[in-house]
Amino acid sequence: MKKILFVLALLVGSFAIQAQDFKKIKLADLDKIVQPQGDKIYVVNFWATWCRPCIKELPYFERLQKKYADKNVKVILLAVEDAEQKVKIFIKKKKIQSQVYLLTDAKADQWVPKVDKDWDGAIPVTLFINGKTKKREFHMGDMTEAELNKKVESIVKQTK
Amino acid sequence: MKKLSILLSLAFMVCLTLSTQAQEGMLGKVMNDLPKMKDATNGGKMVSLANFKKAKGFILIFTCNHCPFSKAYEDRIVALDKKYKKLGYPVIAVNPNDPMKYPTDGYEAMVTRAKEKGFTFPYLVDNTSNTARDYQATKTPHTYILKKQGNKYKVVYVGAIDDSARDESKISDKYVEKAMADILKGKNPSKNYSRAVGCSIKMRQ
Repeated sequence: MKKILFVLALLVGSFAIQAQDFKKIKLADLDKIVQPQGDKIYVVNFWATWCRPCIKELPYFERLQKKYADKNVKVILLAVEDAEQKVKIFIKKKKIQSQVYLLTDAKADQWVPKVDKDWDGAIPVTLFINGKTKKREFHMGDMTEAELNKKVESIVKQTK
Repeated sequence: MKKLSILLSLAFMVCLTLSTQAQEGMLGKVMNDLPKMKDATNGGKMVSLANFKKAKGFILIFTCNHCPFSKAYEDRIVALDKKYKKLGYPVIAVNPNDPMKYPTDGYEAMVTRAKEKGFTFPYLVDNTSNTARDYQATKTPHTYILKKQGNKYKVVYVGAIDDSARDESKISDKYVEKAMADILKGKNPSKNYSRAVGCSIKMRQ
């Protein structure tokens, strides 16, 4: 198990060296992201390049991914944007290292309730999933870096 | 002092409902008139729903200057007002954002924007953000269709204007127009709630 973790950490590490590209996903892929099968801690942030509070907190998620890479935390930055090119330019310019997905060809009225039944689509929002216990916590609105780290720290503690 | 504590407990209750209820919970609620708010299209005249004596209801839209989604909808909001005002359902736009957080959401900027875009409807300053809180609005744009019942207003639709904010050519469902078609036939909207991506409202504290 330790070996696997080590290899995973290495893999994550090697990804981090290159500039991250984004992956386009469809509605069906979203299910896998918001209901993951793995046992990591998943931090899924919904953002867009036009959303100022989202942009402000992106560096928090980037630092979080770096800081917790060895603690099995997986940060996913899920862009909800129709302008693919803008996402591409943005993540290149900002040298985003976390995994970026771009949801395409999906109507908000269909995919938003899949993420959380009480969510109406206002961003930013962040979904925390403890892969081991499958416990989900949904945070609406932006966060300070301290709030974000505290939240992840508390989930890390739960899994120990 | 008593008044203050009543106010505080009221505010607390509002907070509670906000945190425990989805916006869907607003459906069917019967609301009082809006407080008189400063209208950026009308030299700062104070306006509420009661000013529209002949209206049968309203298309109440929380919107603002800074949000790209709101901007994308400006022309469509003007079109909604033009279409439904003469049928008894004028648009009322309310900006609940704190200009301390978004300077372009201040009153003067609202006046300028309304002029540029030719707003045909009131563009009101929610200077406490309490109107947005009362309606549990979370984002801009966020639309509510209200039906007048005496001097009260019943919420019959909550959600988006249509299903494609940024690209009008990809609209496949015009939620508000469909809901209005049902309402004008005397029916309840068959789809009375929809979700859409939007900018979180930065409430005044």
